[in-house]
Amino acid sequence: MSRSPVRSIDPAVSAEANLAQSLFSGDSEMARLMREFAWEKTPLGPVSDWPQSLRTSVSICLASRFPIVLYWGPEYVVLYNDAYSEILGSKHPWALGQTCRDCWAEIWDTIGPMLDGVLSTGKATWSDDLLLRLERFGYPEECYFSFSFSPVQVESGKVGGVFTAVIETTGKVLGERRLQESEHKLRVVTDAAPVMIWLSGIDKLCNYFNKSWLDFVGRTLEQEIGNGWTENVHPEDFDRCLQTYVTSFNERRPFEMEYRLRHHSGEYRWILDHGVPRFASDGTFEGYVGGCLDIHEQKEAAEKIRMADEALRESEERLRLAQQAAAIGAFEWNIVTGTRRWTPEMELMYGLQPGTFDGSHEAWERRVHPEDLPAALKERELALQSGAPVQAEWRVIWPDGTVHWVLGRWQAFKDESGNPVRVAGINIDVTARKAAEEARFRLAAIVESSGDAIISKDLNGIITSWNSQAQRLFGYTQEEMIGRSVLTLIPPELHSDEDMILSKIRAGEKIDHFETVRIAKSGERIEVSLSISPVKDEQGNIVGAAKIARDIRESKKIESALRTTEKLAAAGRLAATVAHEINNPLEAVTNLVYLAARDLPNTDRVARYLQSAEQELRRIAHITRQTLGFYRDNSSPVRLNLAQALDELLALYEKRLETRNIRVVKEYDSNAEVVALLGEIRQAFSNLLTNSMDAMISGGTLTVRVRKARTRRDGPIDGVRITVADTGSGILPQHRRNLFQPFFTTKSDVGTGLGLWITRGIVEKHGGRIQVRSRTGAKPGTAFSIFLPLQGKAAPRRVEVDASPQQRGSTRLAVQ
Amino acid sequence: MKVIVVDDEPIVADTLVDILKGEGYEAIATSNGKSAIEWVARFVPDLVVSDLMMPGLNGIETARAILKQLPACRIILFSGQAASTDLLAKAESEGYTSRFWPNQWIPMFY
Repeated sequence: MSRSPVRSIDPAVSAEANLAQSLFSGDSEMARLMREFAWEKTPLGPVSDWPQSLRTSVSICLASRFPIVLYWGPEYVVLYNDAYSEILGSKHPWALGQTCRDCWAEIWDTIGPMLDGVLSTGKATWSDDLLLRLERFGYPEECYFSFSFSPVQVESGKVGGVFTAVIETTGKVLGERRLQESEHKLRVVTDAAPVMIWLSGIDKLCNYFNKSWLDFVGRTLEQEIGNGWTENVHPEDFDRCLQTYVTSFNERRPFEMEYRLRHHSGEYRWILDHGVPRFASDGTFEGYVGGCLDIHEQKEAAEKIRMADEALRESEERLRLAQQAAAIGAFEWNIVTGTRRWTPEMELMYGLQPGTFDGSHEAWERRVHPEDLPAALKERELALQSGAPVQAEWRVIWPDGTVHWVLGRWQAFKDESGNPVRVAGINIDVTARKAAEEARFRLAAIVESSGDAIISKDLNGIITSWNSQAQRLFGYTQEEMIGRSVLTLIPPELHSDEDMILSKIRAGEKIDHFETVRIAKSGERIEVSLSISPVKDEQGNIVGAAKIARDIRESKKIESALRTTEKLAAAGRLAATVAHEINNPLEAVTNLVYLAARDLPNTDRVARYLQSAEQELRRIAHITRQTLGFYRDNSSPVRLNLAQALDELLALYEKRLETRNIRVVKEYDSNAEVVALLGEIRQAFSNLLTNSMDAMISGGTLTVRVRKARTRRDGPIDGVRITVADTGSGILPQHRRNLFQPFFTTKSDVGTGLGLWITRGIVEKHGGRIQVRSRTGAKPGTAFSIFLPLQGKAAPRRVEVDASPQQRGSTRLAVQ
Repeated sequence: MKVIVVDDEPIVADTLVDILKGEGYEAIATSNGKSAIEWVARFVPDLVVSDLMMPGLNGIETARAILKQLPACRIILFSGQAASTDLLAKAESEGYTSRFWPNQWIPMFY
C-alpha cells in the first residue's frame, strides 16, 4: 500500500507542516504518522482546511489510551490512535486516511448501514459483543466487539463524522463459550455417572444435583437446590449430617458421612456421602462437591451379621446356663421296643445339644470313660437280674474334652413272668462333689506322707488334726492329741510364744521358719522349725492354723560340724602362714649360730652374731605368742579395740601382703571399741582379709577402715562400721547371691566355701550386719562392710533356742 | 669363685654372705631379683644363690634373666614355703635341678 508522500520544502508547505505539528502533538506512533501524512491527497484536504470539530476529535483520539477510531466525512475517512492500531492487525498503518469502506470491506455490510444511520439521524449506537468476521491477518476470523458509534457535529450543526470508542471482546466471549461448553460436558458426564453428585456454593447451599441424585429421590433440580434436598434425609440422621457438613465446611475439610435418604419408592436407603471443598484455579474457595453411593445392601448385610452374632452368643449363653442347671436328668429304657428316652437335662449332662440323643446304647457308651464302663455295665446286668435299685458312678467325656462325673441310679421292672421289660432311672452330675473329694483325698495323702509333722489347730490352740509324722516326732498318737491344747508341746517358759503365734494368725499373717523348741511325749526337747499359715473357711474367715513342724536337730548337728570343719581349715591356713613367718628368722638364726661357732675366738663378732640371733628369736616368740592367743576360746565377750585387732591380723599377713605387692591403706578411728567375742571377731576379719588378698593376684590396694557409726534399722543403734575393700577382680554378679551360702567358693583348691557363711554367722550373732558391694570390669573391686553394735548381744539370734540347756552346749561348739 | 646372694630378708642374705666369705668365696648380697640382675654384668658371678619367693621378680624369673646374660652361671634357688613346690615343679620342667632343700646346701660348700 502507498506510503505517505514525501513533502517538498516550500514556505507554504512549511506553514502547513507547523499546523500539523501543533495539531498532531505528542510522541505516539499515530501522532507521528499523522504529522507526516499528506492529508491534501485525501477527501479531508490539507489540515488547514479541517473544521474545528475534526481537529478537536483527533486531539481527543490521540490523547486517549482507549482504542478510538474516527470515521470522518461522507467517505468515512479513517483516523485512529495507537490503541486502535492493534485491532487493525496488518491493516495498520495503511488504514490511516483510507475510507472505511476500503478499510473494513469485509464487514462493510454490517457497519456501513450503522454508520449511515448515525450520520443521517445524529443518534449514537451501542453494540455489545457484536460478532464481526474480520480479515485483518490475511484470514477470516471470528471477532467480537463492544463499541459505540457517536456522532460529531460540525459548526453547521450537521454530523461531520463518527467518533468510535471500541473494545475487542473476542477473548472474553470465547472464554465464556468454552466455559459453557465444559460445564455442559461435565453435566452430561455427571448425569451419566452412577454416582449421585451435588455441588454447593460458598453460602453452604446446594446449587446442583446430577441426574442420578434426582432419579434416586424422584424430584426435580428446582425442588432439591437450596435446602430442598434435606426434606428426604431421615429425621434421625438429619442433625448429625448437618453438624458434620457445617463443621467440615467451616474448616474447609473433606468429610464422609452415612445417612438414610428417602428413595422415590418411599424407602429410606443408606447413603455414603463424601464431600470435598472446591477451589478455583486461583485458589478461591468456591464451595463443596460431593459424591454419594447407595450402600444400603452392604449396611443391611453387616447389620444382619451383627444380629446373628448376638443371637448366637445369646443361645450359647442359654445353653451354658441350662447345662449348669442340669444337675439331675431322667432316662427310660423300654427293653421290649428297644427305645431309650432321655430328658433334655440328660443330654446336657452328656454334653449333647438338647434333642440330639439318637436313642442308641452306643451313644451313651461312647461318652462314658473307658475305665469306668465295665463297672457301670456290670451294675446294669445286676439291675436286670435282681430288679433291685442299683447305682454306679462314672466319668463322662464331653465333645469338648472336659471330664464330668455322673452318678447313675436305676431299677429294672419285670413283667408277670419275671422278664425285665423296662429300666428307669436318673443321672446326677456329681462333678463338683467329686472334685472336692479328690482334692481332699490328695491333700490327706500329702499330709500323711509328709516328712514333716503337720498339725492343725483352731484359734484357741486346740489341735484338730495330727498326721503320722507328728506322731513319730512327738510320740503322741492322733487319738491322744486331737482336742488337746497345743500347749502340751510347748516348754513352759515358751508358753507366751503361743499367744504371739495365735495373734499373728488371727491377723491373717504367716509365720515362716520360726526356730524354736518343743517337748515330746518322752520329755525330750526337740529343736524344730515352724511354718504356720492361717486356715480360712469358704467365706474367707480365719478359723484356725495349719502348722508344719520340721525336726532340725539333724541339720543343727550338720551346721555345727560345718563350723568345726571351717575352723579346722582356718587353723590349717593359719599354721601355714605361721610356719612361713617363723621360717625366715629360723634360717637367720641357723646361719648366725653357724657363724658364731666358726668365729668363736673372735668374741666381738660372736657377740654381734648372738645379739642378732636373740633378736630373731624374739621375733619368733612374738609370732608364736600372737598365734597362741589367736584362736583361744573366748567364751565371754570382752571390750575390744577394733583398730588394734585388725593391726594384729595385718601384722600376721605382712609377709604375704608384701609378696603379692599389696599396699595397705589404714583409715582407723583408733578409739572404736565394741564388746564382743575376740576370737570370733578375729576369725571374721581374718576371712575378709584373706579373701581380699586372694582377689588381688597381681597386686593392688587393701583399704581397711574403722569408723564409729549408727544404724537406723530397728531404731537407732550406735556401733562401729568396719570396711575391708580391695582392688581385686571383683565378684561376678551371678556369684553375689550365693556369697554367704555354705560351700560356695570360687577358690575350690584352697577354700572350704564356708568362710563368708561363718563370717555372717558371727556378725549376726553379735547383732550386726554384713554387706557387700562389688564391681567387675573397669575399675573392679569388692568392699565388705560389717556393722557391729557397741554392746554386741553376743548370743544366738533365737532366744527360744538359747532357752534349752542342750542347745547352749551346741551353740558353744559352733563358736569354738 | 664369685657368688651373688639374693634374699629379701637382709639378715638372711648378710649371714649367708658372711658364711660364704669365711669359706673363701667372693660374695655380695642383694635384696631383690632386679638388683641381682644389675650386678651380674659388673660382678660376673660363677654362682647365684636366690630365695624363691620374693616381692617383685621371684627366684625363677631372676634366674632366667641371669642365664640369658650369663649362660655359664650356676643358680641355686631355695625356699622355706610349702607353696613354692609349684614353682619348683615349674622350674624342674624347664630343666633346673631342685635337689637341694633349705639348710642342706651349706655343707655342700665345705
